[in-house]
Amino acid sequence: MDFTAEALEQHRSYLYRFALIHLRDPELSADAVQETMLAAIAGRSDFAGRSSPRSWLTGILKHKIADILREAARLPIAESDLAQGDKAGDLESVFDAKGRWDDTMPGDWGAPETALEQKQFWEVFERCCRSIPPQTAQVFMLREVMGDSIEEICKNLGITATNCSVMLYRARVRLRQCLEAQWFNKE
Amino acid sequence: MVSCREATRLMSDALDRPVTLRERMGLRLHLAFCRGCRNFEKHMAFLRRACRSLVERDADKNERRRS
Repeated sequence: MDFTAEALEQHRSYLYRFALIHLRDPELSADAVQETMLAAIAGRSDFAGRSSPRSWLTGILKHKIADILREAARLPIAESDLAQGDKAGDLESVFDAKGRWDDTMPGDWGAPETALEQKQFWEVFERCCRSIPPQTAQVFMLREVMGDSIEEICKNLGITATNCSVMLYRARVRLRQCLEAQWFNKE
Repeated sequence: MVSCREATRLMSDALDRPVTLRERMGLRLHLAFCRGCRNFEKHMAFLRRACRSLVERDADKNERRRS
């Protein structure tokens, strides 16, 4: 297994995004990734092809993230997203009392794929992601960007499968609504 | 008949776990009558594609920066 700096470099953006989800700070995230790269080069003899390079690197990064979080005495996740600020009442504005679409019925987005090529779309996308409560967004990103399974997310964040699917549902509903209002309805 | 609220929840769950035959039937029936939820289903598929392309996009950017 080749562990030149060049070979590691192709995983950098994935690792950075992973770190950003947990640390929510670009500078801290870049530091964590840098330390991970250095640790990987120093410890490359430990690797021995037991897993894919990416999951090995992610394993190192997780320890770095945990160190940083502990050091900053920052709680990686709070129960706040479920307890407050993101109550069931939140979706009341989307559905009426009978559970039908209120005045927010999803419209026709035409061929949305073309948006993926546009830089402005991604700015709107990231803005919409930031409008979701932090832990809800974190679960969503782990699931959709990192491709983690529900089991992995529950284990790593210490939440139940039900909480997890509720948060994913809310994130999707909100993100959809935000994109429709901020992008697809604007064209 | 399931409501839009229930139908959208099912569509979200279906992205994370296998849904039961009963759930799928209820959802299909609802979708046959509800344009809003049919759009929602398409939007969910798009959201997933968009998120998957996020990592690739960053990789492309790094690629360009280095070359």
